Amino acid sequence: MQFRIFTDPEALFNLIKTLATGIMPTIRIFVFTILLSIPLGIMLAAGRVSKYRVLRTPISVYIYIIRSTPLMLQLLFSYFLISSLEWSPVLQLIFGDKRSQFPIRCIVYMFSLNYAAYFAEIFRGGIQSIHEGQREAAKVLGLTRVQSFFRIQLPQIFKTVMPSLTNEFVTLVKDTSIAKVISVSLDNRTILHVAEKQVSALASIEPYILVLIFFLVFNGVVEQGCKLIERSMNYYR
Amino acid sequence: MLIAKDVHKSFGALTVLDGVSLEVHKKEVVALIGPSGSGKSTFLRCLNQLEKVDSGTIELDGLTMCRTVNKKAEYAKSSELRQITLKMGMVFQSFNLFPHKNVLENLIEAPLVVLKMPRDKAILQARHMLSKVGLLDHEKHYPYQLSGGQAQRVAIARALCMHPEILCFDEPTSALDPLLTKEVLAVMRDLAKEEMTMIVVTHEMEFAREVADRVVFMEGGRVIEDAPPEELFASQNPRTRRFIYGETE
Repeated sequence: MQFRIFTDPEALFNLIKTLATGIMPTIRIFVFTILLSIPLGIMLAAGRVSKYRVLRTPISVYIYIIRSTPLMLQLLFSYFLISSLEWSPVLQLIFGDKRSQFPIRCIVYMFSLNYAAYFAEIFRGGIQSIHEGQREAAKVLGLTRVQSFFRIQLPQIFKTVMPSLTNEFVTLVKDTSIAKVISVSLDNRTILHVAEKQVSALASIEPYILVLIFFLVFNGVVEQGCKLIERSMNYYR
Repeated sequence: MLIAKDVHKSFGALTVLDGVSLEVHKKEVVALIGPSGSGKSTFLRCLNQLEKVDSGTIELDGLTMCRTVNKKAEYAKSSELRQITLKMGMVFQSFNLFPHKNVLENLIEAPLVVLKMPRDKAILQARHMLSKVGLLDHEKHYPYQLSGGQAQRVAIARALCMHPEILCFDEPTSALDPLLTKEVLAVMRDLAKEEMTMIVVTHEMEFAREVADRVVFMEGGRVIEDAPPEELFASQNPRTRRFIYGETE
């Protein structure tokens, strides 16, 4: 194999500059997916352990479907299903403009719905690991159920589930590559969207090597960040 | 002050409370004794709304928590139940301190969040309660850094910070060795001296004899005897004697 680009500083610089335009869109998918899927996952988990069957059953079914089918298929399916619909004001409100905003939003929403199912199971384990006495102590002190959940239980839950969350974050970083199956507007192209174009334009796989390095660095940062968060919760046992 | 009448509670087919009645007056210390499974802890938990009774009446200070309508307990509306919650304090066998908060934070949590007390006032009060239980120098410690006895004293201080009218203890020393038991009982003795109204589920017979104004002996989900300690410990009831002195008939 020949490294035509890596041996030519100017070509390499140009390639890096081009690929760099895909960095922020990739990070954006990661960040927005986490921001949406964690709260949703917590809500699903709370519903999953609720005493009401009308909440429990649909959530279990939802989690089963999401976890049993491929994310790429879910993404393609939702994308083509929704894009076949008449663009109503409601769809406009949720997905924005059909051409410019819908593809990227569809990606982020589907990623969030997908990851929320995994987070729900993780948080369910976390909720169940909290000793019943914590909830009882909060109750007899007069805290409401909501106060008890957010002030007493949730901080402890995060500590328990953080290692599992780290795992999911790392997987999500890699899963951003699945976004490539959807064509997005120019300013939303992920690093893989950009790289693929370059691979065919330059007739070289060298862009992919740079993408590999990007994911290594991205996940390196994510892992270190998670470690910091874990350490920040180590002050108690 | 507290009136419980004919309280029934079962878990599935198992009857745990089979018509328990108890009256507690202001400034009284009542010890609940009895074998394991006699229902005394469950009864205490019903008083604190941690369990729902099946039927029966519970009143506190003229407020009704629940009463029997058509043989089933009907609970008051939630605002009233909350008022009752705030008048009751509870100390658990397993302390149940909040592990992610230090001692001071454990003590100010409920005053801040529930009573909306200003922070500096809550801290001042917390320190006062900590000095009462002899742990003023431990306010920055986390629960995992405390001995069982210290943790239980913090739990008592935490309950006191909400100024309950009745403080309930659910086997407060059962998880502690004899030495640590002593330091917790000493704090409870002080509270009794300060005329705190207390209901104590305990296996500490000596404590019940010395500190309680009344001792209630429960067995099989019923109150067998309810008398001042000197009477109860001299009881002629064979079931009471069997429990206290291990006598066989």
